Amino acid sequence: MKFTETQKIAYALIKTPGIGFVKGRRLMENADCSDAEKFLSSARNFCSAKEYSEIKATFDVTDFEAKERLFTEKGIIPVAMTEKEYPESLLPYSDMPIILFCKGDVNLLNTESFAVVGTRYPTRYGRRVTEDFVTALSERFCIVSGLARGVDACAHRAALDAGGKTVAVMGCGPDIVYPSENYALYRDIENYGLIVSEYEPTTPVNAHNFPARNRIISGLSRGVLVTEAGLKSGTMLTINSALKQGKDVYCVPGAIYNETSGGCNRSIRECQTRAVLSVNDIYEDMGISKETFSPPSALQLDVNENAVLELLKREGESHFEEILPVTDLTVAQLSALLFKMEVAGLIYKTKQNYWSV
Amino acid sequence: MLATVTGYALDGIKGFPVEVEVFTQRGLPSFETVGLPASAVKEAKERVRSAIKNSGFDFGSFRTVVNLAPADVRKEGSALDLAIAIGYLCSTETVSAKNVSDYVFLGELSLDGSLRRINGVMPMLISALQEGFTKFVVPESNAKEASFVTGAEIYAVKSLSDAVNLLIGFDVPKVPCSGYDVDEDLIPEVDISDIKGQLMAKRALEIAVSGAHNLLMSGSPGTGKTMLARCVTGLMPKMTFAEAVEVTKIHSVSGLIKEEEGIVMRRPFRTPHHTASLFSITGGGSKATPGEVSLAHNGVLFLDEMPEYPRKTLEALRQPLEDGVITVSRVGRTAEYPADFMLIASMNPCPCGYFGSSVKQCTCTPREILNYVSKISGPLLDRIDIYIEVNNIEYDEFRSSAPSETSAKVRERVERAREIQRKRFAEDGIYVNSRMNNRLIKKYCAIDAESEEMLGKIFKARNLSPRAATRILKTARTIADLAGRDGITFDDVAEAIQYKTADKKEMASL
Repeated sequence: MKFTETQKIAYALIKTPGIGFVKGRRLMENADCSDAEKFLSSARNFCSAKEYSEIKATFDVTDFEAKERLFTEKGIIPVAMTEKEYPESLLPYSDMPIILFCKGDVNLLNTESFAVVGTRYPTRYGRRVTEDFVTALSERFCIVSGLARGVDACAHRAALDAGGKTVAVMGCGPDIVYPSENYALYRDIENYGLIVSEYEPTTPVNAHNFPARNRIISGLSRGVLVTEAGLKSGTMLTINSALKQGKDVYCVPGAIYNETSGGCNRSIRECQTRAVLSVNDIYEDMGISKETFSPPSALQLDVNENAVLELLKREGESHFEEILPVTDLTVAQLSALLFKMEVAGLIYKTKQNYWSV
Repeated sequence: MLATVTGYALDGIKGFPVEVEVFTQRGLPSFETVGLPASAVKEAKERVRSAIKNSGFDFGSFRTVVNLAPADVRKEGSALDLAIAIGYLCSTETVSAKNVSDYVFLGELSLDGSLRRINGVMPMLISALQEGFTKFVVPESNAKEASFVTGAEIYAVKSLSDAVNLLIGFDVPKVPCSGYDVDEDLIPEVDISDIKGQLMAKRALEIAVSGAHNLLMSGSPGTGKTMLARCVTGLMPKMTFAEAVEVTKIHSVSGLIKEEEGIVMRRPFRTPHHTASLFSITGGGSKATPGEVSLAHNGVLFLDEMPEYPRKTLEALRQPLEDGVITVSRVGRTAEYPADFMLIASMNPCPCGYFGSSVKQCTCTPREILNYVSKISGPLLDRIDIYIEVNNIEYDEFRSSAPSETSAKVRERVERAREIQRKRFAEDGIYVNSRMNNRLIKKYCAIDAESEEMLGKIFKARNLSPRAATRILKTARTIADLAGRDGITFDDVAEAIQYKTADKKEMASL
């Protein structure tokens, strides 16, 4: 690939010390970006002399050809702020990067998106919520998340499985797979979705970069859905940055005793976010009409199956030995029954020996 | 002059006769032992000398040579002391050698002339009977063990002088044969009714024991995995006399027989620690002694915290799990020991122990968890038919006082299921479901179309290996046997799938 002049300018600006998001943007928008020479001569009017000499020095030392080779090799596509590929949704905010490094289908930057984020250590409940919501949401939206382990990875995967589109916003260079266990997922997103980062390729993993990418995740999206988050989860930062941007944040509530849902529940309680119980709630809230899901067709159930279902519906989740007394079965029979119901999709095993509807 | 006395030495869990030839002649006093004696046998001369003197006999002043024939086989242990001492007394004509060749002498001497307990009496006696020897002189402390060898004429003596008394015609009573009678009181340390709740785990144990399936339990610390494992031996059918003798032979060689019991009546329950060396598990050392897998023969080998064991140790279990025997090869010696045990293993779900627990949040990364469960290799997991997750719920007073079944009650069902299997496999050379090979699975584990369809569905959804299918079928067969059914029903298969060994990926994900 070859850098366009605009991309060269944007790249030089982010490499210049002392030029941040705001100043960089001012320069990009006001100076003449048609080529480097003209840019330098017009940029003089929009920055101090010191900054000007810094920018000039950066232009002189940057080996653009070497960078072009690197980008080609890694398959990275740069997108500068003034280009048409640059996501419109990011433009209203002053703290957005002036260049994005992408890998995959750049058109996804401007599709209607929805962010789905959550804890890195979800419970089965969290996974299930994520899968169910994402499967439904991905019919309409491109799913944006952060490729972290846990809910993020689960959301990307579910979107891909449902045949939808997904965008992963990374906190390191777009060519770095982190965490490494998401390697296969990374490859799939690269082929069927988009990987975006504000950090140039080969930027190593750095913990403080990760909270910063949250503003891009929420910035790209129409709304943010938090499927499961503990009180101390990094997801709370995403919620805050989304709220600052004026986005709608939706949280799926959990049981009050579950620490892993503490963050969601707390933010609902504090009226920062809206509780949603199904995708329809989101659609309704956003003013999108959507047919309600039809409830599963009634099956012929026997007495014991009904008893199990009733208990699980009431308790949410029950241990094998709590289920046993409501039936008139032996351990062996109940074991078989639970399995059959699991196969039929009526119930599922949440964790060791616990079942839920 | 020359005297010949018969002693016995051990090779693995078999005994072989040792001709102890003692030749004494007048000359400079010396005492040589030849015929490949190990150090314990070489040292016998000092014990013999002192024992003879302290028993009131004259040791005299002779040039003595003791030859242990066959001279090309190494002899270990101290069991030849008595034979050497008797040989010496005969050779110096202190004792008449007339009837000495009728007996086999076994025993270790102490310096004061009394006889000490030795290891391996039962295997030596059994081998000797097959060789045609019938009369045995054994230390009194080994009398109980010897008395279980039917057909042997046992004389138990306290000291060297007692043995001489027997030879010169004093009346030493024969030890009466002990009958094998498994005591009802021989209940294991943990009765299954002592464990509250854990109904699924208990059911899984019952199935595992019925079909002799190996079992893996996964659960957070404090959920009762060890308790459950400890009650397994109590659920197993009582050992038959033949089984008890097999076990006793191995334990006797290792010196683990209790003096007053003489025979092992309880099924062994072996719990080697995970720091145990490879050879202590498989058997080995310079003497090629039996390892934990053999000591657990006909019983249970319990590996607590299985992933903590070195990989080499775990891999070494594969041969015995497959064949029921283990071959121990050491320098100049190869011994084959029976090792037909039921493997019970327990593990935490992750290094911190709380993955998937409702009590505490797990602090492990997915990579750590996968690495942890990957310490158990696939081929080993393939030999474990039943996998359960153990956890407990809180019980209130009322429910905790509800009666639960005793081990004896469960054992009855197990014994019935075993009986069915014995009859079914009468011509197949095996006796439990877990030992079925693919051919037998095809023959005995037919399932109906409905079950077939469900299995197919599950396999696709969970990406299971064909090996998982054979495990499920074997377990389903046992479940049907427990219920006394000829055919395997849909419900049997459905239950069996609940106990299927999880594959590693699945163990590492919620």
